[in-house]
Amino acid sequence: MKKYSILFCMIVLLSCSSSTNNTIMEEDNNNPILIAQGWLGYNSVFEQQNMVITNSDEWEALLTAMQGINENVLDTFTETTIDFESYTIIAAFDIKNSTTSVNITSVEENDSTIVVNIDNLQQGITQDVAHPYHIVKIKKSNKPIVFQ
Amino acid sequence: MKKLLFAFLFLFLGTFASQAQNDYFYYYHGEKVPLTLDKSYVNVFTNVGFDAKLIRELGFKDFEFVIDNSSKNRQQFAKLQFTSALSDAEYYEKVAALRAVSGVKHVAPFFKREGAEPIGTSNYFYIKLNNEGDYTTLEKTAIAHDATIVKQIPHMPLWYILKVDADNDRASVTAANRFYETGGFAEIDPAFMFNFRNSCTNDTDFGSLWGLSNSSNPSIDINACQAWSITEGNGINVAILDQGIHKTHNDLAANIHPSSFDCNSGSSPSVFSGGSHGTHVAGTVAAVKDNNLQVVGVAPQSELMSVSHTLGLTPNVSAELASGINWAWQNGADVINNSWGDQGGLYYSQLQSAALENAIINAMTLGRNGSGTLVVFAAGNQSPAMDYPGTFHDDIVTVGAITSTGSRSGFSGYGTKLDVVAPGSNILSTIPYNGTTPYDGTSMASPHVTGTIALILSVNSCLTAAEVRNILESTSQKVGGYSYSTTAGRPNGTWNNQMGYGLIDAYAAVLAAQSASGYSMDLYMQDTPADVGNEPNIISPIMWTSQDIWVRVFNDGGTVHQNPDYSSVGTPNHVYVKVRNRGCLPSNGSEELNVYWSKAGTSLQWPAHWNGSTFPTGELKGDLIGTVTLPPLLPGQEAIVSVPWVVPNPADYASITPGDQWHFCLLARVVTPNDPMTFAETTDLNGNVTNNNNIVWKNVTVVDSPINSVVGPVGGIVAVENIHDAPHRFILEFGTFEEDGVPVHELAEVTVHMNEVLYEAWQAGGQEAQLIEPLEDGTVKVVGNFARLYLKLQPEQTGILDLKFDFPAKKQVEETKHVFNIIQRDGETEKIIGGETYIINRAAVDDNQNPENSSHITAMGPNPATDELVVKYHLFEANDAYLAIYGIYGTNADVYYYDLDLGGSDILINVSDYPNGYYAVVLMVNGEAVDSKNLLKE
Repeated sequence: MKKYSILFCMIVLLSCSSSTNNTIMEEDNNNPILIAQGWLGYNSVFEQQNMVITNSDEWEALLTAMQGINENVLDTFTETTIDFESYTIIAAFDIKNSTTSVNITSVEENDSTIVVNIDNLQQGITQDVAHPYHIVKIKKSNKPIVFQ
Repeated sequence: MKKLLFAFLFLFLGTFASQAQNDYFYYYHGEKVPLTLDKSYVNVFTNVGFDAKLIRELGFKDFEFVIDNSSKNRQQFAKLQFTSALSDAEYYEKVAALRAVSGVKHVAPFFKREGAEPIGTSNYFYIKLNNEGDYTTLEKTAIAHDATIVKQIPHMPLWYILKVDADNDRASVTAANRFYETGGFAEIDPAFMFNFRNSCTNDTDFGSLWGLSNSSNPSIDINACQAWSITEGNGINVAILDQGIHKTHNDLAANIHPSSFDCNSGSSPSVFSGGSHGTHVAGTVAAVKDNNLQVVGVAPQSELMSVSHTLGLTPNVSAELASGINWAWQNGADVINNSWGDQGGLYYSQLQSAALENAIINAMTLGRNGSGTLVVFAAGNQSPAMDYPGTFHDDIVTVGAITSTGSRSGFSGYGTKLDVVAPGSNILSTIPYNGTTPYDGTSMASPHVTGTIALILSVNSCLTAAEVRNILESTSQKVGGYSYSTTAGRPNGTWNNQMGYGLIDAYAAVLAAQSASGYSMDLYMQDTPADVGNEPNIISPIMWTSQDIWVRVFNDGGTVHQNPDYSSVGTPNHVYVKVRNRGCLPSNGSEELNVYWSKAGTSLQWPAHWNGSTFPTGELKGDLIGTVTLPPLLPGQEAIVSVPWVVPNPADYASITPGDQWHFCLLARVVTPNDPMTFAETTDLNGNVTNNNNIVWKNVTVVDSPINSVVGPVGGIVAVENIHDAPHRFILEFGTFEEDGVPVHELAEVTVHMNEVLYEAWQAGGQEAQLIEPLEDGTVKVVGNFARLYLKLQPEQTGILDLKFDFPAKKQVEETKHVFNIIQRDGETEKIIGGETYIINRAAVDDNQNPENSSHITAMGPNPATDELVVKYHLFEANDAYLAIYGIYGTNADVYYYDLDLGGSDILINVSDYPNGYYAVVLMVNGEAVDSKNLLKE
C-alpha cells in the first residue's frame, strides 16, 4: 500500500511539476492561474509593490490604473472578470526595464499561511525604465498571504 | 549698367517673365483652369548652403530657408514676400534680379485663391503616363523641355515627379502644361504647395518630439532644426549595440546600413527577436526625415548599423558585447550607441570584464583609422548611481536624462562621471511593426547625443574623438536652473553634478565643428593615379597626363581619353573632369571649375596660352571652354562633371601647320574662395600644377597604329616656344618612363621633324644632341631612351615639332598601348617647363578596313540615341554620298535619307521623332552601299 501511495504521489507530483515559472499552471490545489504578465511604461503610479486583491472594487481600480498607463493593456489579460467568491488576485509590480521581468514563481500553502515567492527571472540590462508586472489568481483562502 | 542687365534679362526670361498676370492656367482633367498671379510672394530654390544675404539685399521681408530632401540633389527653398505692392513690370524686374543671383536654381510664382491664402508653386510638377511603356516618351519630353525626372511617386507606377532644370526659367505650372499639350500623357499636376511647412520637417509626429524642438519650453531642446540647416548627418555610420533593429520599419528602412552583426551568435547579420528597445533607440538617432510619416531622428541622413544582443544576462554576456563593439569599429562605425549597463551595480559582476573594457578602449583609440570611434553610454536609471561600463573610462561619453522642463529626470543617474544630459523622459520613437510609442530612460537620452555626434562628424570628419567630445561638452546649454561651476577635471566649461556640462546643443556643436581651425574642404584632381593631393606633388614624374580630365567625342560618359575631333556642323565634344574632396568639410555646391584648351605645346604658360591670346599669325593659342558649378561633395566623395566644347577647326591653323595632327591640351582649375590655390599661380604652368591640387593638365595626343595593319608613320605636332624675352637655351627630351613598359624607340622608328625655326634653334644650340641620329631635311631619329636635343630659341620664338612613330607590321609585342613623352626643360636649370605625351594604341583592327582609300563611317554616336545622332564619315573618290537609315527590328519606321557634304566629315541627325527600335545606318557613295552601322533608338 505504502508503495502504491508513494507511486501515486510521484505520479501526481510529476504531472503537476512546473515547467518554467512563466507558464500557466493548470488549476489544481492552489497553483496560480495566469491573468496577465508584461510591462507598463514608466509611470509614477506603480511602485515596486505586491498586492492582494479580494474584491471587485479594488480589482477595477487596478485595471483602471493600468489602462491609464497603457491603454490597451487589458487586451493581453486572459480574463478581466474575476469571481472573488472563489478566487483572490495576487499582483506583483516592479520598477526595472523592458528586459527584466517580475515573476510570481510559486504559491505554497502551509498550515498557517500562503507563501508567494517573487523573483526577477528574466534579467536584462537595457536602460529604459519600465514596470514589469505579473498578475495571477489563486483559490480563495482565509489564510494570510505572505510574500517572499 | 546693372539696370541694363536686368532689362536684358527681363526681355529674355521665358514664359514666367513674359506672361501677364492673368495668362496663367493649368490643366485639370483636360480642362483649363485659370490662375491669377499673386505678386506678393515668390518661392525661391537654391543649393544648400546658399548665402541668404545675397537675396536679402534685393528687398524682401524676413525669411528662412527649409531644406528639401525629396530628390537626390538636395535643395533648399524659402517663401519670399516683397516689402511693397509691385506693378507687373516691377514684379518681373525683381524676379529677373532674383533669378540672376548665382546659386538660385528656380523662382516660382504664387497664385491667388478666392477666400484662401495664396498658393505657391515649386520647381516640381507631376505627370501621369498613359501606360508604363511610355516612360521613354517621358524621358524624351523631359529632355526636350529642359526638365528632369526625379522619381516615380511611390506605389503609383504611372505617376512621376519631375523638376524644372536650373537653367529653365519656365514656371513649373507652365512646364506641366507643355507636357500635357504634347498629347502624350494622361494627366498633369502642377504640384501646388498646399501645405507650406512652417516647421522644419513634415514628419507627422514631429510636434511630439520635444527633445528636438520644444514648443512649450523653447530653450529646452537640442536645436535640431537649426542644426539641420547645416547638416543631417550624411555619410556617418552609427552602430546601435542593442536588442536589434526592426529593419523594415517604414520610418527606418531607408537608413539601415547593409552591414550588421549579432553578438550572441558572433556572426552577421544582426538578429531581431521582437524586443522594441533597439528599434526605439535607432529611431531617435536616424528615423527618416520628411517622409510625412511618424518621427524623425537627430541625424536623419546617417546610416544605422545594427549590432544585436538580447541584452539579457547570458553566460558570456561581456565577451559577446565586446565582440559587438569590436565588430562595430572595425567595420566603419563612426559612433557606437550603448543604452545598456549594470543597473546601478546590480549586475556589475556579470558585466565587468577586461575583454569588454579592452574592446571599448580599442574602439576609442583605433576606430575611424586612428581618429577614434565615439563610444556613448547611457548613464543609468538607478539614481543616483551611474552604470558600468559607461563609468569605467573618462573618454566614454556618459549621458543623463532630462524632462521637457529642463529638470533632471528623477531616475537618471548622476555624479562625477556624468558628461552631458539629453532628453530622456517621454521620448517618442519607432517600435517594431511600424509603430511608435513614448519611452523613458537614459536609454532614450543617449541616442540624442549619438545622433548629435553624427551631425558633428558629417561636417568635419577629421575631428578626433577627443575633439568631438570637447565640442559636445563646450557647446552644451546650461539649463534647468542648476548651478554650473568650474570643476577640476572638467576643462570644457562649467559643470554640474546632476547635469554634467548641460543639455547638448546640436546646432552650436555643428557650428563649432565647421569652424574648428585647421580643417577645411579640399577639392582636388589627380595629376597621376598615385597623386593623393599633397601640395606640392612630389610623386608624379610629369604633370600633364592627368587621368582626371579627358575628352569624349560623343557625350557618352566614356572614361577613355580621345583626341578632340573637329565637327563641321558644330557638334560639341565633351570634356569630363573628375573632382574629389579630400578635405574634412563638405563643399557647398557653389564651387566652380574652369576648363580651358590650348594648342599642344611643350612650353605652355599661364595664363597666356589659355586666355584667348593669339599667335603672331592671329590664330588663337587657347581659350576658356566653359565653367561648371561643382555639386556639393562630402569628405571623400568625388564627382564627374562635363562641359561641351566646340573644337576649333584645324584648317584655321594651316598657316602654322597643315593637316589636323596638331592636337589640343586641356586644363581644369577649381576656382573658389572656399578652397583657394595653396601657392600663388605664376606664368610657370608646370609649377602651378605641381604646387596646387586644384589644377589638372592634359597634354596628350592619342595615335593609332594597329598591330595587324600597315598605316605608315603616325604621330602628332607640338609647338616648342621660348617664353622669355631674351634668347634662351632649352632641352628637348624624348623617352618612355620605366613604369610605362618597353621604350618605344625599341619597337618603332621614332623620328622628330623640326620646322625651320626649330632646326635653326638646334643649330644655334651647337647642334648638340644625345642618343640622336641626324637624318635629313631637319629630321632626326631617336636611338636611345630619353634622347636629347639642345636648342637655343630667340625671344618669344615658336618652333613646330612633328613626332612620328613608324611601327614595322611584323613586330609583335604583348602590350597594346605604348607611351612616349617629349619633355621640355630649361637649358640652364634643367627644370621641367612642360611636355607632351603620346599614347600609341596598337589594338588590332578589322583587316578589311582601309581608312584612307575607302569611304566608310568612321564613328557614330551616341548609340543608343534618343534625340540626336552624329555620324562621322570619310569619303574617297565620292561624286555623291548620302545616308539611308531604315528600321531592321522592333520598328516599322520609314526610311530616312540624308545628303552628305562631300567636303565634310560629319552630319548631325535629329532622331527624336524616330520610333524606338533598331536601325541600319547605311553609307551610300556613288549609288552603292559601302558601309553600315547598327543604331538603337530608345
